[in-house]
Amino acid sequence: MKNRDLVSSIFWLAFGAVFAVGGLQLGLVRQGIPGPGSLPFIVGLALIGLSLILLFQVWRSKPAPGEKIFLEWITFHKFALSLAALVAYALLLKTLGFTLTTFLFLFFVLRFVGREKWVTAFVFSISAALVSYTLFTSLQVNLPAGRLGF
Amino acid sequence: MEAINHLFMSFQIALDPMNLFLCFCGALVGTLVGVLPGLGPAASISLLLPLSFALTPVQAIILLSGIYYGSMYGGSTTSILVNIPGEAASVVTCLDGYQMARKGRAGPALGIAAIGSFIAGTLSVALLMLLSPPLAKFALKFGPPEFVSLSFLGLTLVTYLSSGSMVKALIMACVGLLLGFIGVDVVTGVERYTLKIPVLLDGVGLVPAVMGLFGISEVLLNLEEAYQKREILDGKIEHLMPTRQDMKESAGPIARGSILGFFLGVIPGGGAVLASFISYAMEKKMSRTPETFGKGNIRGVAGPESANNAGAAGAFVPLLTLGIPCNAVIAILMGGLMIHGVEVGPRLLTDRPEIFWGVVGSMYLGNIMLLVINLPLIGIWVKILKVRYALLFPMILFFCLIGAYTTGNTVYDIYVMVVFGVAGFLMKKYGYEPAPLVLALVIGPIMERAFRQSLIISGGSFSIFMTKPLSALFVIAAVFILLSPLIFKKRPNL
Repeated sequence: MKNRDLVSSIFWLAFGAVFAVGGLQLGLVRQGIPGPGSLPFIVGLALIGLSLILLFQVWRSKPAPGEKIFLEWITFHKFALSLAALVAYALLLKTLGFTLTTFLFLFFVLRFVGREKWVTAFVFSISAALVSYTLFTSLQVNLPAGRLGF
Repeated sequence: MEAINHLFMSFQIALDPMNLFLCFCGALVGTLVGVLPGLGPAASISLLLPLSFALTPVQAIILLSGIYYGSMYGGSTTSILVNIPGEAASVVTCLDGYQMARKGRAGPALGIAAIGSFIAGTLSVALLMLLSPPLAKFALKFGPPEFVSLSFLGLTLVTYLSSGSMVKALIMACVGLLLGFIGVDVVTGVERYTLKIPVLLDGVGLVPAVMGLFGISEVLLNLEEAYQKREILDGKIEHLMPTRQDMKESAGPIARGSILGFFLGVIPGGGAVLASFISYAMEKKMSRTPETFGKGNIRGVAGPESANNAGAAGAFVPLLTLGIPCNAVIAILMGGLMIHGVEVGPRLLTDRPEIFWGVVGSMYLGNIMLLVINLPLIGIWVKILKVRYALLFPMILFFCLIGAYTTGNTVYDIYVMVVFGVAGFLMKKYGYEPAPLVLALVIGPIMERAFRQSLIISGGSFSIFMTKPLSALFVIAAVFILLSPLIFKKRPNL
């Protein structure tokens, strides 16, 4: 974990610093009582301290043979496609409505991430969309209808 | 006499038809998520949390806690039949459970897991019922300084008991606290760390965060590995009832597992997972034939399976009496109760007795339901296990999307969830555990309020945490735990 710990400890160091500085700006003390920045400042400092300890441990340890600093991607496209599908769902939900977006999302993920057959993906996604729509409306969950009206 | 009155009250609440139905739903969903690897109780409770907004707080906690202890039953099925733990608390059950199944003894393995779970579950609810009222009464004396020190002690214990690097666990706790500060400060009304993003004004949502960390990231991790073909033992499962000899051998492990599990459950950071590991280690050490462990010894199934159920029930003690969550799942339950407007803490038992006694009553009944759901209906769960992951993961993603959206009816929560999903993925790759983060995220805002109240009482002096004797005790214990890795060099490796 040596190289990876190096990356993450530096990340947390920065993370802690951002919050500690932010805490200073928010104000540590207001009219004699602890202000909104007090505890964030303290915890931010603690995080900086812990990252330094981790950094010290990295410096003392030996790297594992063949370890790379960043991740080795085995199947990056699956990761990227799933994330894209999730974000697309959020983007399209209000415009296309719940049922259509759900169908498109499931179909895309099943076909292109899960590598199901076209027919399987189609049948599965359309039935899942309809069943979930019926279920959620009967439970009175508020779902967006979209511009098309369903 | 009082105990009997309370028991009567518990059943009165739990036997209400709606509550009974919700308890059954919880047990059923719990078994399902327990059986399915890759969907744990943490993610599924947050999935159902938005749905529970339409319910009363009592109904909601009966449903959600049913999922938690139900998943403890379901997890063993997958461990025994597929050699993959259905959820984390069933990891050790794989060792002997799967070996038993390979020797054609899948039936008794499943049977003893369910019976042990039932005995442990029932016994620990009884302990929960007896121990909580006096503990809550004692905790009523706690003021803000005591609460701050106790939460601090709780968080250090969680990081101490987490597997892997303690420094990393502490980092996670700090990050969780810091994320909890995001949003409008309740005391002064100042915006903190919101970057002017509207969705962050109310703080980082617990539901999207948990679903990202436990739901989305799990799917992303699983997608990385080529789908392993799961080998499910074929053929009919026969003789679910263990033999008399099996029962005789298992009696000790079940009894020890129940007691051990309950008390480990009460400790922050303990809970079901740790309980099952320690029970297994203990049974192996106590056995006259330790070499048979890992080769299908029924004690290796009976002990841990009892311990994880007892641990699940034990974890409710600090939640319902102190307002301290012991593990990630309990933290989500606590978050859920707070969204329902329930103040979780020592006053819960006196102010909202129906919540505590409702949970107790439903746990007694839920354990009976689970026995029925898991033993005679085992065939259904085996069929569900055969569902391809390629069909399963799109549904998990979809449920997470709906869960995140319906918490606040805004798509921005979906973005928050995706960010936490990627973060959870990276955390796993870089060797960080999400549990301390979630705990800190839930407890952070409460802790901060108490912290500032304490300093107002003391006029800004930090000595208040050391001059109050109980508070000082908690702080000293926490500091001792923090420094112990330096003193003893090595921490028990779990």
